[in-house]
Amino acid sequence: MKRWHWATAGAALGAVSTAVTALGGRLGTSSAYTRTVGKATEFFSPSLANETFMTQPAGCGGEVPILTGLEAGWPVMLIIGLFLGGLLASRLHGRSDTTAGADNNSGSSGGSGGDLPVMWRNRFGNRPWLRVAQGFLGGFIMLVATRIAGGCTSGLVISGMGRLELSGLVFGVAVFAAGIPTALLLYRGKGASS
Amino acid sequence: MNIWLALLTGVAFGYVLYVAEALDYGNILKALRVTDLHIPKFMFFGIAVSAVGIYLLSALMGFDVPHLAFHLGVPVGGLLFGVGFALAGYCPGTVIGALGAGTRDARPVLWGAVTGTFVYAMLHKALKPLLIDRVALGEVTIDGLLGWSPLVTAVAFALAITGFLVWLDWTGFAKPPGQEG
Repeated sequence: MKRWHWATAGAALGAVSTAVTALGGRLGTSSAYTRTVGKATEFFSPSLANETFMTQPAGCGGEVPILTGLEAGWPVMLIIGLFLGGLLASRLHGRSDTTAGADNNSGSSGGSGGDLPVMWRNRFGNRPWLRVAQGFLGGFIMLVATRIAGGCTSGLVISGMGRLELSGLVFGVAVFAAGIPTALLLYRGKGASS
Repeated sequence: MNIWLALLTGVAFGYVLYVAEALDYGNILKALRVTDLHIPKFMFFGIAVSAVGIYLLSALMGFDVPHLAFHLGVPVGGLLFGVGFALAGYCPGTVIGALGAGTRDARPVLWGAVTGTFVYAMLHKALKPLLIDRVALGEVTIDGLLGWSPLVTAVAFALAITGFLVWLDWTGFAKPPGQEG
């Protein structure tokens, strides 16, 4: 598959974001994490879930300030759809010819590094455990950050800036202000050319 | 929002992220290393289109546009998020789409995200007075700050973004040879 031009894909993204707003929702994904993890916590300890998850804002997936109940609701349906959308598109279009992802490269590496992104392997070598640690740490920091800010790339930046919100604009600037130096630091020196 | 329509919107969202190749570690890192700005261009053009779409439909159909509040946690969370984003190579949304597309590299990111959600919930009471209650300006919008109508602001904002993106594309800055978009 040849990737869509940014203007074509961006217009489609704009249409999706407009539609979800007109339907009374928001393209927020991080709130679904709170709802799902909160529900799992409630299963083991309702009192712990009450003291923690139920007292924090619902986040970008829900306009209400505090969760009124740990129901799945539309934010969880949205990310189930997101999973299915990725599945559907990958079945329809196959792997991209420009992507730096590595799921189709297991043959060339001849080892267990087949799941590693090509760019990452060129920089850090065939060390799957290091990638697992980086990915886990990255995911951990991101979700803590979204709960502090009240949203993520989709809810605050895409939906929020589309709604002309100051919070989305400031969050977007902050993400790149920290993300760019971090990426440059990770990829300094050797292997930085790919 | 109707849950079945939410499911359908989610499928469309995942599909668009896939064809834009935003579900890919390499493309996210290329954006953050400023070697290929395809993903930010895609995102910001989506924002431009949705700003006009949302406020045009809101004016025509008469629905309210709810806003997220601003507080100190927004810039602090944004900076922290940027660090996590560069380490992970996926955002909380794209990691789900990438898993749907069968990308195994996204799995540890999901486990980290789930753990982070749990740990934050345990810390929320302690962090709230330090971050979320500080500089709590409420639902501040750009149109409100300028004193313009939302639709006029949206059109001006969209034109400014689009103009900048077209100019950026024309200069060829951070655009690898052989790539059209």
